[in-house]
Amino acid sequence: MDKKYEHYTVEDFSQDKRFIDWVKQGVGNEAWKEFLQEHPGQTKNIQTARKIVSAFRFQEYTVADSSIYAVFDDLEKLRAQRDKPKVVSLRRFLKYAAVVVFILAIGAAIPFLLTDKNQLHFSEEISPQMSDTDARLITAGGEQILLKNNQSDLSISTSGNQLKIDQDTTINLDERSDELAKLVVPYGKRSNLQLADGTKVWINAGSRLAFPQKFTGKERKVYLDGEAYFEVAKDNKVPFIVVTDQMDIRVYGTKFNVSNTNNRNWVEVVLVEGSVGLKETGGMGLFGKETKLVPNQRAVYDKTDRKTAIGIVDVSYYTCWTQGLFEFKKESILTVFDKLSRYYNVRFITDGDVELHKKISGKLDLKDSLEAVLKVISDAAPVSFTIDENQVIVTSRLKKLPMK
Amino acid sequence: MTKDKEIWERFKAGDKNALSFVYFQYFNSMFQYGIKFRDDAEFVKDCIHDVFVKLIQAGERLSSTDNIRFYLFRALKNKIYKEIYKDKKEEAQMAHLEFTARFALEEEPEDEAGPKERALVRALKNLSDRQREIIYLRYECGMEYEEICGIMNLKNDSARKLVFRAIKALKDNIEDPIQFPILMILKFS
Repeated sequence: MDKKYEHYTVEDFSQDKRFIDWVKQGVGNEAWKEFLQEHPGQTKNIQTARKIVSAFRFQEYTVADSSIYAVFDDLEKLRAQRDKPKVVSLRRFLKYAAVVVFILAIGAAIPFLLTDKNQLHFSEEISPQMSDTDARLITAGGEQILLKNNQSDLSISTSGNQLKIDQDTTINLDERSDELAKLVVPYGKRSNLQLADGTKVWINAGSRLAFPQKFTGKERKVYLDGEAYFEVAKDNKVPFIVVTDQMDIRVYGTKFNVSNTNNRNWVEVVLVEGSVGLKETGGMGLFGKETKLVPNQRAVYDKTDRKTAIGIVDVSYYTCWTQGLFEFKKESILTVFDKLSRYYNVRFITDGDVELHKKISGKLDLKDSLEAVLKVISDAAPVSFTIDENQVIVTSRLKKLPMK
Repeated sequence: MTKDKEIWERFKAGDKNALSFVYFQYFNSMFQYGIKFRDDAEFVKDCIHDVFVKLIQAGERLSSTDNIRFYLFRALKNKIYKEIYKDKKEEAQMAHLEFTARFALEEEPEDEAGPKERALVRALKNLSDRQREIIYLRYECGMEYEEICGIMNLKNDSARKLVFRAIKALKDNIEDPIQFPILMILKFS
């Protein structure tokens, strides 16, 4: 041990790196013990200094691994895109899109945990792809029907054996199968569907819905992945249930919007009319408590910490998409791009100088052309757009500032 | 080239392994530091995310460094500062970012502590937020005074001086708690 320590004061010890390492991490325990035996006169100073150094400690917080990976996954995507033409990480603003890693982990566990076999109806091959051009209906009998219009109206007859498309085509459905029918709506499209019980569903771009062609039994159950607006036909005896990967929404005759986009880490339910009850999905739920909503309330269930937050909202903001309107209030440019990319099936590309987190407000009519809509945005934010087939190149109108 | 320098050059170039190395190496220490300014885990996580987004987007335009931790701590502190003061431009000119965290001992229930411990806690409570931040960086992160001054925009020797004063204050309180003279009087009377 260094001779200097023989004359050290409390202040000296308290500032000495080697001493600090000993107190904090137990480094060199033996050497210090020996030193104390040889210099008992320093015992008091060392004790006091130990107290001081030990007092210089702060509580350590723990962060869930899942959220550390969630952030990383998002950053890695951004990095991977850097070499290619710079595509905006459209997932980024969805809190952490990164949660994708986390959701996939849950996804893999679902077949084992869910008691309801119907959950398995959403297999990967029917997930909506960016490249898909047409909405598809897969009937219970396994027949695929392509829907050519940007917005299709579908309606199933009360008996469940006929499907009407856009008021002009009628298709006979196989009644024997008890499989679910599936409607897959790609980005850039929307669909309206009237179910056999008279319930109306508006299915947004990039979403899918699985449903029985005819409802039998004690419940009316449909499965949603994405965003949809429901006007549920009243039937007090047979409850209507919307199943998402994290939450069941039990309905008692009502109008509401559910958004459960895969790349977000929350499920959002907005109630317009009537009453709904929310419950964690099937076998996943540890606590089967039902949360009830009243009209104008919005519930957000966070998949990560499994908590539900409820607040009063302006419902038209959440449901105006069903009328082809898109309203945004102080939302980041990135969020607006994401929604637009869903409606128009385009990708937004930027050079990294665009301030994507800038908040803008406005209302867009999505029946307008993409050009007209982008013009509105470029009036509100310092960006300009160039459309190149299905890509929109975004550039900043501000001078580039070098990063320090 | 030092190890940090080399890793940083790879990070700038968009190297996959460099990103994951830097991120996982420093996430926790950045988080522990950030949360000392605002006790809100989501907020701090968002700030760290945004710091990295900016670094990734800047790529080769980033300056070089041979001290990644220093670079990241500074960047995170700037980000938190900006976020906290983003709606209050006038105040931001004047304000410095307050290190609001308290020492672990201050959080412990008081009734179990003896008079000496209480005296120590009292002395801790009297330390300024600047002193706390320096102590955190020095004693919990093991930073050099030069780095600490760089992060906190302090003059050369002031970090060391502030720590010295803190130690002195604690020492005086440990060695001469107020109860001490009273006991002496009782003994001799």
